[in-house]
Amino acid sequence: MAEAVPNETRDANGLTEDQVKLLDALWRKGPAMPMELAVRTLSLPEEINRPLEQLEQKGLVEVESIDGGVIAQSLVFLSKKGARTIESYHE
Amino acid sequence: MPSPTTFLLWITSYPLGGYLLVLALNVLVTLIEIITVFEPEAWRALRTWGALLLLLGNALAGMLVFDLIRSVVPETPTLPLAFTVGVGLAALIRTRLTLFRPLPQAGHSEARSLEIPLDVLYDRWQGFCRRRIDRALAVQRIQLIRQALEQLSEEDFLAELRLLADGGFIVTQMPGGDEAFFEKVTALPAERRKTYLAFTLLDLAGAPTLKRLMQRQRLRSEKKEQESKGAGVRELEIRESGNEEIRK
Repeated sequence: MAEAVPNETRDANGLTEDQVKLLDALWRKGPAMPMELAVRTLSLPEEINRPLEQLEQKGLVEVESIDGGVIAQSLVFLSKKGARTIESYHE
Repeated sequence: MPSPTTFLLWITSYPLGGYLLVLALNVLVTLIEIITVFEPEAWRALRTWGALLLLLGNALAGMLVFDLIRSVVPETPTLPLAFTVGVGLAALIRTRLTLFRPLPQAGHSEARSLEIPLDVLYDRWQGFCRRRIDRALAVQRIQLIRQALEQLSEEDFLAELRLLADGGFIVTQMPGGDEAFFEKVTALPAERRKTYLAFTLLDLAGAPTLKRLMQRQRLRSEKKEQESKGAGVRELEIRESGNEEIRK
C-alpha cells in the first residue's frame, strides 16, 4: 500500500506554507533553537521537524550543533540562499 | 577650549594620530553595527568573544587599509583619509577592492579565478563573528531557560502568559486568538509543556520578564523561610515560658 503523502501545497519557490513560516521566523528574529522556532511559528515542536529537514536539504537553512543538554542540541541559521528566498516574499 | 576640528587636526599631526582616529572610528562604527543588529540583546551581544573579535578585526583592517593608502598615495591629507577609512571601511571594502589579481593573459580567461576579492573575505569574516555571537547568545538563553525551569512551576509560566495575553501585551496571532494557543499548549506532553511555556515567555516577553519572575519566586521562598524560622522561634519562646511557669 502506498504511503500517505500529506497534502502540502507548494508555491512558486517550491516551498510549503510551514517552510515559508520557518524562513520568515529566522529572517525576522535571527538564528534560533528548534524549540524557539516552534514557538515563533506557533507550532508544536514535532510539527517543525520535517519542514526544517527539507529546508536544510534545499540549502535554505544551516543547522549547527550546540551544547544545550536536554533543552537544545542545535541552532538553526538562515543561509544566504534562504535569506534571498525569504526576502523575495517581502519585496 | 579647542574646537573638535582643532583637536582632530592636532591629533592627526602626530605620526600615529591618524591610526588612532581610524581605530576609534572603526570601534564606534562596529559598536553601532552590533547594537543595531542584536538590538533586543545588544548588551549581552557586546560581551561575547564574537563581538570582541569583530571589534578587533575591523579596527585592524581599518588601520591596514589606512596604512596601505598612505603608502601608495603619501600626499593624501591624513584627517579626511582617517575619516573615510574609519567611517566607511565596510563601504570601501565592498566597492570590490581586490587584494590580488594576476595580469590577464591572452586566451586565459581563468586567470580571474586567482584573484582574492576583499569583499568576499570581509563578508566571511563578519559572518564568522556573527555566528559566534549568535551561538553565545543561544547558550545564554539556554542557561536562562534552565534556571527558569528549576525555579518556576508550569503554573507560574501559564499565569504570567495569561496575564500578558489578557493585558494585550502579547499577541500570539493564532487564528483562534490567544485561547487557541493555550489549548494547543495544553495538548503537549507534560514534560515538554513546561519547556515550551518557558521558551514562549522568553520569546514573547523577553529575558527581563523571566528574570523578574525568578526574582519574585526567590523573594517568596525567602519570606516563607523567614516566616517558618520566626514560627520556630515563637514556638521555642512559648515552650520556654511554659517551662518557667511549671518551675515556678
